[in-house]
Amino acid sequence: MFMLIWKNISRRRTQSLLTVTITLLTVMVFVMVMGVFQTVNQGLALSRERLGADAVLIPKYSNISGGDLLFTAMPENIYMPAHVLEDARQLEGVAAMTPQFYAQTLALSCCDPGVEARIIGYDSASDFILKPYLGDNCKDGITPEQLIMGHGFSKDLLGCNYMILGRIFKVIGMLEPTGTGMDNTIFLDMPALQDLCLESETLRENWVNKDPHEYISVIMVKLQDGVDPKAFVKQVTNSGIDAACILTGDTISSLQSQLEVTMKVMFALWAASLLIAVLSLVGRFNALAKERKKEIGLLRAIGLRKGQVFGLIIGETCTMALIGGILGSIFALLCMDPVVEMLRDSFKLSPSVWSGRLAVLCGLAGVALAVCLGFCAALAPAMRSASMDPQAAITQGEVN
Amino acid sequence: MEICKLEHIHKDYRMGETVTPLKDICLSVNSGDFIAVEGPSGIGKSTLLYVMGTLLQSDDGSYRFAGKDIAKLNDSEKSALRAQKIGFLFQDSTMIQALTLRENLLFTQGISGKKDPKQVEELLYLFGLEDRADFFPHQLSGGQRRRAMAARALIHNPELILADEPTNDLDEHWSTEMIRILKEQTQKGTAVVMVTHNSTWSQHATRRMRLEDGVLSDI
Repeated sequence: MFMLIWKNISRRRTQSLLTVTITLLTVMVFVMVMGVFQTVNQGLALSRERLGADAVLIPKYSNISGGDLLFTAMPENIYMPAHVLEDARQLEGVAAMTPQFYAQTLALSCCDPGVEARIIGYDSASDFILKPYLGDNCKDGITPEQLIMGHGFSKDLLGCNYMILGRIFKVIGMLEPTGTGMDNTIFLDMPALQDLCLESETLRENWVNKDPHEYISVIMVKLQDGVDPKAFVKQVTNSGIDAACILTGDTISSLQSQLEVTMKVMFALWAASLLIAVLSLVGRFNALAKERKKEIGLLRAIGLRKGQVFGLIIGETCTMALIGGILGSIFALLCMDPVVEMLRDSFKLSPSVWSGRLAVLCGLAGVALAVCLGFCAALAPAMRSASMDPQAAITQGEVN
Repeated sequence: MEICKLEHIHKDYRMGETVTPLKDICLSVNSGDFIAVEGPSGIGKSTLLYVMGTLLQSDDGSYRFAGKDIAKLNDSEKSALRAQKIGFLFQDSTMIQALTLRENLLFTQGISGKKDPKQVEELLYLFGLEDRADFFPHQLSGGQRRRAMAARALIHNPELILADEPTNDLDEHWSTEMIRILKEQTQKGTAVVMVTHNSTWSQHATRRMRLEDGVLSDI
């Protein structure tokens, strides 16, 4: 029976190709939409779970957005006086706070990522942001000659010497994925990065008559349990300290609502394409059953049972759908990297959570969808063909 | 040995008006019989073959095949009967389009549960189709298709061959050969019921009958 199924497919090439193409395109769109949706959702879930800080204090008049700050690794050279940290210690409801100092890579070197990347100088003593994601070898902090990289960098760099702004550092750790800009950031000891700002010819221009050691970029704040974040923002505003407050939860929620609208539109478009595909396939399989009515009558006459005729048509359509599903999934997964990259640019999202496991899941879902699609579209024609009166099929086959 | 028996078979068609091609058919077919059923076109000869081949259920009367009442068999049992005991040669050329001639024969043989590639080659040779074995049905002429269908009807050594105008599309030589081969099958114990409107070929049968007004009568 499988021989007949395969020969019906392979020897009716144009028709089979059309069916496979319809399924392929539908599955491709589905896998891409599903992949993007899962990536975004998991990224946001990871961000919520792993961001660590409830609020970020930034320089009062900087125009940086929460999305840029948290979800991209775009270099942001924002600074405020270091005494803001001391002022902030007077705020109530704070469980922990830690300063960070921002700079950026510029020059290419043998081990350089090749693009401008954010460097964050962090304070090992007060840090609570990186600590949960660091290996044992750097849990106690790093020396001025060491650095830690985000998950987005190549694993091969671990243990290498890495040149940043003319100074060589040893890569001693790599973070777990966070779904935030941290994934594409380089972390140094804060005083070491402040020294580097004075040593680097390019960065030095920003620090004429200023000492980087007297500045910080942001303060990451963890609130005590039960403290209302909105009330904390109000407290910061009213306290008169020289900083503005961004709530990370608000930023994530705002990004999530933007993405939800986009995802809804994408799903609606995909649902429309699915409907078109189903209608096309139902039409194709109806035509297939009609044009082979006489042949089906013959099959019944030579002894095929109703169930076997049903199995023959379902087997044929599901095989074509399976081929379309596998190819569609493969093509979609090949296209995912550029799509995720586009998404990252458009939504300022760090999509480092697009993993092999997620790819396999999306691919399998695509194949399952294809087989379901083939089965559902062929069900009515297959049932009709199987229950057809053999004599009528033979004698009326050419008329209908 | 009796292969099948029709008693008072009645069949109506409702196509605007009621047409009754089979009114009161009684026929007993025994092993080795070569029965020719004559009658003008459209009289119901093919309908008789469809009833005998269990492809069409009669409205009244009884039909027994190998002692079994066909009306009491379910679809699977009737399918098994057709696969193993009945060979059809339809009036219109009907073959599986995606399979070559050889594959068509092998597939039909496989449905009956047999596997004998040697017999396939022998039948291809018998019907002069050995050089067309790997052709698809649409690549064959009308006469070649007719011979291919005859080969298919014989491929599973049925007990009963139902041949609907078997000489259609055939030249004089192959018409004679077709009748000779069918006759040869009856000598091996197979029964052949052939319908034709051409009395030249029915003269070769051991029993000639005429279908008229829905009733079969000996000539």
